[in-house]
Amino acid sequence: MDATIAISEPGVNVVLQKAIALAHGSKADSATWGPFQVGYSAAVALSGGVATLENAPANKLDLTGLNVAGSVSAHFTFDLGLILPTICIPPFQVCIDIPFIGTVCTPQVCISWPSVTVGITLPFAFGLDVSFGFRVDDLGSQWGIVLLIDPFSPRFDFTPMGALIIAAIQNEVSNTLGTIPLIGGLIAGLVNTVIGAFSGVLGAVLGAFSALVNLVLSLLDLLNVNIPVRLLTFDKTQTFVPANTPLIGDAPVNMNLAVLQAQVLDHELVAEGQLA
Amino acid sequence: MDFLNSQHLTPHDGFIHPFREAGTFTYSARVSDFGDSREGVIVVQAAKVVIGKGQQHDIVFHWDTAARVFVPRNEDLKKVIKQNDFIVFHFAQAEPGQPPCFIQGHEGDKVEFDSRHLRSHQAFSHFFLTPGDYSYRLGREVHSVSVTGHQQFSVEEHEKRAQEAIVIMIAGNNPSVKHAKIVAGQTVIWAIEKGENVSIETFAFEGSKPKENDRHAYRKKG
Repeated sequence: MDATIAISEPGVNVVLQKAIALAHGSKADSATWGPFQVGYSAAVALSGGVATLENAPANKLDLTGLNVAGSVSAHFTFDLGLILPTICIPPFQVCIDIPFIGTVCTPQVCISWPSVTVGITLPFAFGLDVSFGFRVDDLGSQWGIVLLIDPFSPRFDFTPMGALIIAAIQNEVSNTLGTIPLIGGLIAGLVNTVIGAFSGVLGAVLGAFSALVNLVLSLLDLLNVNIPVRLLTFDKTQTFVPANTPLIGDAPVNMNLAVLQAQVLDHELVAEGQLA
Repeated sequence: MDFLNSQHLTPHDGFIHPFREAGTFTYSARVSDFGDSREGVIVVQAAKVVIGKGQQHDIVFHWDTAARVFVPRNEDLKKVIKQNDFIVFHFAQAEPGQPPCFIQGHEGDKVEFDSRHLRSHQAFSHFFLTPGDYSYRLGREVHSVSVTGHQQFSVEEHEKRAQEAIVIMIAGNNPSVKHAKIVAGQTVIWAIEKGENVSIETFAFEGSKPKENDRHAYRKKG
């Protein structure tokens, strides 16, 4: 005896959106590039997307316009003393006559450059198109129709955000140096020195941010090529109740769903089982 | 706020000592009365130079982070000066973890000078980097230095002001300027005209501010 269940494309969308709503994650890391210590974290969440079903023999679920949104938060800490040259102020010595000592010229003081911490949050959003294959898994007491994503390469290019990071560092360094007297004319050059040093590591920093975002994405079940996502489950033991209950003598009957197959026919997900 | 204490010198400070007598002296910058230090020698030759007409010599220390001692520059390890010349002891760029110190000089076993106990004809200088009101006490009286941030002035105006150093003469417990007003980037020199065991040490003071008309009189040269 066979049983057939069909789920329409809109029905699959409803079920899939529940899985998408649960797809969010975050991760943190830190690294040092030259004088720059960077602590950073990425948070990612999925939303939206429209699922369409590709008929057999393709038997695919295409999810288009999946919205990947999140942010990378980073803290850059660096000791200006490791980047900037030694500068002694004042640039001029002041000499004063003290009657019982002589003409005293004041000592110059070499600046102890401070450490700077710059915090920045980089929001991002991009669309993703992915496709899934269907598979029927034996889950013990249940059959499961699961989705398994086809390999894909989520790529988000952080390069345009380099300018934002540089601007934030520029601003903070400029403010910090602005508190030190008598170097006003030097600040622009000193800031450029810091930005020059940072520019050398910017590519590596942005690459690390992208890698972390991709890592978080790969850890989401829905987008992990090794983790099947349950779309539908069926108990292997199905109870059939006679239509004329509660008449005496027609008790419910338990039947075993021995085999289950799934395929896409006429843009519907069709599950066919054999009852024994 | 700057750390301001003549008993604990930082890279913002200087200690000035004139040598009145000929002789051979050892000196060092020390973190405490005990422990290791690197000594230098000052040879003072007899000369007929009158008080107040001697030449300035500089001795610059840097903090050796490995040995954890203050070390004079090589060229300062042996200084030959003349009677009534004076030495300005100060510091190179601060190293991470550099502690404050004091400067001490000996002639034989006798302490010739100690920056913790300023006495007649010695001087202490501080380069003010941070704005704020700094109060210090001489005897029972409270005196102060008000430091205005450089950002409140145009670059030209600030540079003009910063080229004026201020001397506060101290006679006993009386400073020549009770309330000095300066801008960040200026140096103040406290010169001890007459006194013993003097120190300039800031403390938190919530009392009345010194009077406005106590504005300093200072001289500039060069």
